[in-house]
Amino acid sequence: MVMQKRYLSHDNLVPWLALMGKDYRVIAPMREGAAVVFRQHDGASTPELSAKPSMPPKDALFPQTEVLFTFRIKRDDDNDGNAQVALNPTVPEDKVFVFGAPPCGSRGFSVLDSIFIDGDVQDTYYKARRENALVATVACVRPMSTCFCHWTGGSPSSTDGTDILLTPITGGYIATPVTDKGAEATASDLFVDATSEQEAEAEKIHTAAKDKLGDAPDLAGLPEALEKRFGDAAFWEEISARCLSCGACAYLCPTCSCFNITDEANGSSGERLRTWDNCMSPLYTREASGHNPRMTKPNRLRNRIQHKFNYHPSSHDGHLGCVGCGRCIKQCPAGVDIRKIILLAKESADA
Amino acid sequence: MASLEKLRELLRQNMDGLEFVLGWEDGFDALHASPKRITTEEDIDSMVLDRRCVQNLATYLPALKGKKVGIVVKGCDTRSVIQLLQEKLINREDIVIFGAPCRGVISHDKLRRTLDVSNVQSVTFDGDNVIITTDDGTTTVPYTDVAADKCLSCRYPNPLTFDHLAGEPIPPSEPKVDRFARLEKFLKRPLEDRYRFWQEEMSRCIRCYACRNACPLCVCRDHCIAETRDPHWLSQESGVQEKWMFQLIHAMHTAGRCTECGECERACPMDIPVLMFKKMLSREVGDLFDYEAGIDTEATPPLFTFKVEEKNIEETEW
Repeated sequence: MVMQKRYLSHDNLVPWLALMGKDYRVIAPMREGAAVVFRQHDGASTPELSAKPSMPPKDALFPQTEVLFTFRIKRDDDNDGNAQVALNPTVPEDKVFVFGAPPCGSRGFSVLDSIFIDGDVQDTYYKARRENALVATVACVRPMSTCFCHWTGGSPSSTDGTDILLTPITGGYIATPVTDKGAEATASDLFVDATSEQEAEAEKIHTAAKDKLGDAPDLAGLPEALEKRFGDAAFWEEISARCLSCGACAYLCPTCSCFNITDEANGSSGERLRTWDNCMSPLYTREASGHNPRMTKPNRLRNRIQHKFNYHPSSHDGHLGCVGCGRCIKQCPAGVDIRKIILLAKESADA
Repeated sequence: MASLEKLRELLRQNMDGLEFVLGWEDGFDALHASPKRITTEEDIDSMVLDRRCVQNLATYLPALKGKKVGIVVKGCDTRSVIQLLQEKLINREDIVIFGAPCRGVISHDKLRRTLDVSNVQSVTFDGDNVIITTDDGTTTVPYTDVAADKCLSCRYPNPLTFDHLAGEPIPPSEPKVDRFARLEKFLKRPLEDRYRFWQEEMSRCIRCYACRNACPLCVCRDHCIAETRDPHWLSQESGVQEKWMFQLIHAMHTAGRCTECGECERACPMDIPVLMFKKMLSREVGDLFDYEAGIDTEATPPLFTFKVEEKNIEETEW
């Protein structure tokens, strides 16, 4: 399929979402007071595309809570009262159109892909959602001071992990299909072929946004630097001092994927749930024996940093487990700045 | 009015014997300050004390019980310190309190609603104004437009307890706004309206527990009712029911102890006005027990004790 760039006028945006709503459950960023959150699109309202969503679209493919299966326990009186457990897997089937995230959101999906489906063992639930999903991201026109996607191999116009990249230009958007699915979705009459002037305007937007971010520091050797730093108790003590051990950073992160599995029973029936877990929580690593290897803040924050910038790249061809969206910096109530931490770790290792 | 220079002097003179002093330094951009453990001369030099110092550093104290530390506190922060002292969650002899009379801090939430603060270059506090320079230019905003709500209804600008005071006490004045103004306005809405409001607000909650962890009084951290499986108070489902239940539990657990410092609402990454639950109960506690939390070190929170006959509760008429 030819990846022809298309143009969608502002007036046609909501009609397009309504059209997509016929085949997909459309989710789009909607303003709610000071927050911008992904909600199911109603086919009529205008999404909020001029402010970064408070949460990444992670929940669309990796829900905060999902049912893995339901179960029912039946006691068989004819069989000595032995219990029979009936399991009903609940693999998701619905198709979701994830519209309106910035590129860091879809890059987050790429990282989640590398964890959940690219290896030998595939996660049935994530895979089902991912294969049924269509993603359209919107390029960043004006990165925030907390944005550092370019440190992690991304950019305000990255097409990594998305099916369509929309770039805001005069009067509407340039739609760049990235996959066949994306090209199909932009084949509708609501789009017209983009002119070369329009394409040039989009390019200018991409360049300006990239320039705004400035230069990224050289993070080569970061995993090794962190490895060297592992046992430096004073370092981790100092950088974790202000952390409150809440879960804001982990839950707002496009790439954090740790989860917990619990059974919620109601009498003799119930559900097995998978829910987000966060490594900042004191109980994160508590084991069944009661032993907790990461009882202290320094240990837990060390684990978070090491995971994103050392362990994940080491098992995924050097790709960082962070996409530089900056939400952990902006929203941390205590001012933990992950950029400062990795630069400090690198600088003292280089020394 | 607190003076940064005076504060630095006081620290230089009084830091001996302390592991560190909890204060603030510059944050991730010109509009933010961040908590900092001050230990060295360089740390003292890079301290800040201004309207950006929004964090209530008393939150860190319970976990530091047993260590000798110093803490820089605004008027409202000392109420948290007093509350912790009342409950013996910290030892007075282990902390050195550097008090800072305060004329109010900013609300980052209000700033975000006023102008685009995603690229701030510099901020100046000039008396009644906040002058912000961003990539779009320079804007002067009256402080009262972007003041934290609690500052507009502040009755305790001066630390209520301290070892050293970093400046002249601020003369008392009537607060501009009643501390229950937002609550009263909300309560005028019909019940169904309020129910729908909370259904929608709580649907944004991600159960990150930033509200809980930012609270100076929340000390059950790893035994929290919200995370126990035995007894199984809350399920792992992320419906409004569970999230709301947690908020109500938290409000009940802090009733009569909450000093309305507002850290819970400030910490919430999803902009949910969770302080309102606590304000409701604070008002009730005030009406029922003529009591205000965090004022008197010798007082006992009303829900920690009982009286056979309560002054404001008519149980029998005979």
